[in-house]
Amino acid sequence: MSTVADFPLASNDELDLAFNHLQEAFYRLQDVSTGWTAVEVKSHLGQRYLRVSRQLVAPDSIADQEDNSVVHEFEEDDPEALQNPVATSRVPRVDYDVILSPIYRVPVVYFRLRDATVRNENPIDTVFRYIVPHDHHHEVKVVGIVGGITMTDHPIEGTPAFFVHPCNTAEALHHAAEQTTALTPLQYLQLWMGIVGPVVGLYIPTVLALKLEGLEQDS
Amino acid sequence: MANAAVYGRLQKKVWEGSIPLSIRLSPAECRTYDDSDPYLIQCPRLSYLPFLLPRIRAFFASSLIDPEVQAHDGWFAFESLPLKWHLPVGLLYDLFSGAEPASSSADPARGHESRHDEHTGDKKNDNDTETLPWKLVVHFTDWPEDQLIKLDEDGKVIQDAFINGVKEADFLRNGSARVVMGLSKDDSTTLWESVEKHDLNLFNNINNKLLNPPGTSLRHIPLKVYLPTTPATSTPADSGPSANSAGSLRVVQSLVTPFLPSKQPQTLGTALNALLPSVFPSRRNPILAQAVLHGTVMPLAATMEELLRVAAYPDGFLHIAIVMMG
Repeated sequence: MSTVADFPLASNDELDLAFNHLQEAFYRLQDVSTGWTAVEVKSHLGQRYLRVSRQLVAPDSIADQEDNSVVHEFEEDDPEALQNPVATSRVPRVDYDVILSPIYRVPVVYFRLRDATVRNENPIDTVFRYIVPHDHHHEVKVVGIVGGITMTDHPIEGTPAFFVHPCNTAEALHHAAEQTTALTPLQYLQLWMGIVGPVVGLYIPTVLALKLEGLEQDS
Repeated sequence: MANAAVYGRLQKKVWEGSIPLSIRLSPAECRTYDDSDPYLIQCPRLSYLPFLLPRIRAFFASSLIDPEVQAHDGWFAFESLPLKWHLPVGLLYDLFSGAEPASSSADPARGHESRHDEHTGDKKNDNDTETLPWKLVVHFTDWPEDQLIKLDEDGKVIQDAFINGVKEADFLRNGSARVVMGLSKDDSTTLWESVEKHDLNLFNNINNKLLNPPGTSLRHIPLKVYLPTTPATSTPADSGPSANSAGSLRVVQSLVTPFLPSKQPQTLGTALNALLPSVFPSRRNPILAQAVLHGTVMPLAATMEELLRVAAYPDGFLHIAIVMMG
């Protein structure tokens, strides 16, 4: 497999390749529980992007993240949820869209929470409650005026979404890679997810990472 | 290339551009339904709609059914279309009002500066009587959360959106956002104040530090191109809200260098042809669509670097509306 030509910057074709690998590995896992509910390569007007969906669980049951029943326990404890009997389609989830920035030429993560809003709660507070791991709270809050996570219009759908501002991503990738700059597109995506993902709870599940390793050796 | 005095004069013209607005309170929120006076204001094109909210909230205080609503609950709509508050007023008008942009009968291949002089202010043509004042509706309840980002009481959300734009423009011009990140806290506060107060001198004090950092040359032109789009055709039921309402916008961005590989200056025509070849098949003549900046059809021969120096919005970007012809 060829390597990312202009590291730490990426091209559409390179990311596309990595997205497809990730999608393929995810579907090969079939029924193995990963915590992710869907991985989809989407396309709009020639622009390809990756959507990863994940079920959300209450912050205090993070340790049991892969046990779906926990979600229901949480919902039962939630006074808001009591008004809406739990149905499988109403389980809160997050959709992450990974899109190449034409300006910064690095992947950017945009995300939206579904069925997670509590009435009158500020959306960013919902994000902190569900998504941002506690040890990242400070780091995300001190950057920028509102914080490292802000809202913007989704560059493809044009409707509000949260995103992590990409202005430091290229530098962070450069530092993280140290001497190794010959990365395959998939390794690049994994490195990027390792840097940007943790603050928004986007990790490659271990079983999926192992599957990817197998796939990459085959190709 | 023209001298600094000419640039300064043209930039001042751009800053003087304004649009008369006539803003009514949403009948559903009004004690007298549709029988309230409109709030009238001449609004700078480079300004943002939420700046008006405290005054509008006060103006409609006695008409509001719910007296508890706050200024930052306010959002604007034109013909039921919620308006993106993070886009400058002039750009929203050029995109959605349906007004014919001003144009010049002069040969587009000739120098373009004189046309800036003539047309930067708002146009005077028959169409004005239909679109001016621009009639908007203000709402203070039922925020359209799937379409607009919520504002906050302290104005941090709008300031943050602006600063993100400034950072991005800086990154494009210099290859990093170090210049804007290196601004003192006072300077970046002042920059935002200059936009809120619409104070060009104050703005230039700070902006000149951003535009002319020592030892750098212009790498890319901060450009965003806005295309009104038709409704999306298919939306899987589970994909949530999508940009499929009337008035959807496609925002197109790419890396635009000030010079072409041939060393010729990049013009608006060469940039748009590279960005949107199907909409701008010719680099010289608008065939299917026109590029509108500050209410005026731009000649495709205009060089991007000169446009940037005189006609950038306060966030450092050239925001160009595409208006289809015919």
